[in-house]
Amino acid sequence: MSKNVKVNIEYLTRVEGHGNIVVNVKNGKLEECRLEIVESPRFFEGMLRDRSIFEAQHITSRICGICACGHTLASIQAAEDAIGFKPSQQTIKLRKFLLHQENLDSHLLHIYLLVAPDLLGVKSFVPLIDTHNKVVRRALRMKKNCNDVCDILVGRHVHPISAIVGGFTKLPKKKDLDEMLSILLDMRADMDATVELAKTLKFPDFKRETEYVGLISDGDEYPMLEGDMVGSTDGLRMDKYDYRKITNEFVVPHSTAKHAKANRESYMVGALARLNLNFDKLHPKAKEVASQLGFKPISYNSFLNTVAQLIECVHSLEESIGILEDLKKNGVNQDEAIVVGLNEKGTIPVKAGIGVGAVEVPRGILFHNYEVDDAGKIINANCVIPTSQNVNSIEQDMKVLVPQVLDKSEEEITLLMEMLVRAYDPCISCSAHFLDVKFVY
Amino acid sequence: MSNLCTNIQKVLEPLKGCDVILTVGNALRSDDGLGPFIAERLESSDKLTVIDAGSNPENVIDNIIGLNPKNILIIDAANFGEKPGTVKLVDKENIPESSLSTHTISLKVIAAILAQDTKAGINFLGIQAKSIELGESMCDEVKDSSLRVVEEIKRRFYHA
Repeated sequence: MSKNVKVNIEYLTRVEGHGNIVVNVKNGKLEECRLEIVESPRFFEGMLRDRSIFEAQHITSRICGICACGHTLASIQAAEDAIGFKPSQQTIKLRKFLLHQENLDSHLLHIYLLVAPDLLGVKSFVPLIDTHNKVVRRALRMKKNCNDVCDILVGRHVHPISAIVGGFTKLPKKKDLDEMLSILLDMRADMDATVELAKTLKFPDFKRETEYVGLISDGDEYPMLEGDMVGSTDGLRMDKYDYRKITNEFVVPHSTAKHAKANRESYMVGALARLNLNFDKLHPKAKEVASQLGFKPISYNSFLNTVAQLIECVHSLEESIGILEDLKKNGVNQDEAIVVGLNEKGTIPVKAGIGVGAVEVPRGILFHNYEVDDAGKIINANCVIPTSQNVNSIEQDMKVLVPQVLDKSEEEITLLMEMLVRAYDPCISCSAHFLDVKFVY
Repeated sequence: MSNLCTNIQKVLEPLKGCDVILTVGNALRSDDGLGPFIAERLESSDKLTVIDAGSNPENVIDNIIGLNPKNILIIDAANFGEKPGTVKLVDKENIPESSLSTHTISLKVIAAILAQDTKAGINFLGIQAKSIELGESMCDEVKDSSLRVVEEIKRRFYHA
């Protein structure tokens, strides 16, 4: 094939950084194919230096407005690990619940706002008001549900206030549990409708065998907040403290986000990786939905990350309901509430140490690593976010996908490339803006 | 009276009524904070309800529908390629599609839902931002225009 294709997808975003797709095919041969991340470095690790571990989660939460709770939880886990503090079972339960809410919120927004327009044949979410009014209203309703539950639990729907090192400053009372449970029980109908919608959507057929990395556990629970090890579908088994040997971050000239690789040229993290690693541990209802949607692990189709996210939504909703019912049955011990200001006076003993937080957040495994002095001050910090682990995988997918679709029009190729990037739900700002497309011959 | 003040009176002239003001924006993103800035300076009254939705306007849709309003004015930072601080009033059909984040629901969607459920007239008052980078302070031009918008709203809808 002697086709020439040159795709430059550029977008100067206003907020969360930006990325460009560059594809250059000459005489049917792929000469260039890369995902450029040109977002400015944000130096959060530098900001953490010389700050107290007790405020670290409030700082790192600002890394992201979408997975603020995930950063909060990874930060708290790293800080508590560094000082050797073991949280109570009640605290762990509430943290798991918080993580489920963020997973739900983030996944639903990705499914409805970023992916659904492509699959429903419109340019963005906005035209769906006319063509799919019920879908728009359902998306708004579900987003509000997630926001409201987070608001009740941690004081705000983004950048949680009450989740801190040691536990929670405010614990839910019975009326809070009742309210959250009522919201989530009502959400089941909308979740069922979302699954029905997903059954009508056709995702691109694609396959690239790669490695999937995430938390693994010997227990029965689908590991999100904590796991026994970090594992992969290639048999990698490592302690979270060895995360640098897993991520093997390296720098490429066209990206301000580092690339990562483990046993192969790249690996993927996120919902698809988690399902490929831990499918059997999903809630039975989530497994039933997976069956209805025709999803079977191991899936090597990155486009199905969106399907994996929906399956996880069902899991997170059902697990959340289960946690609330358990808390209602056994009660919440209000005496465990942490009083800010007392922490530094011995309630939570501080000592020097090194800690690692490894948490499965919506886009994949997130690592926070802090070195803390004997006063509880952070000396060094390192954060490895899921999107930077996925950037290399996106690029490798693009290199496989482009030669397979050269018979398509430029418009179709461009859309497929955008959809591929969107499937990963990257936290660069933002895949929807890849819609500004220029072809250059 | 300054030209800018005259201009803002003129810009708001087509607005025949207003019983709900919905402000939007993130106070930690420089000029994007103009929505909360304006809301802080306006008090709700019997005739006018002021709601600051911050970064999540979808959270207040039900509250607004419950008010059964006749005329809703949405205020937010905008980018229409003018000088910072320039104020424009547009109807709901011309509300910009884009929002600050892909994970934030567009104001155009919010406006469409409000229009469908309340039958209210919906207008969008945009103020040209200079910067929406991380930062707690607004530029002088945007702050000045925001204060003048507050004055004009008070003149038009508080003392009518």
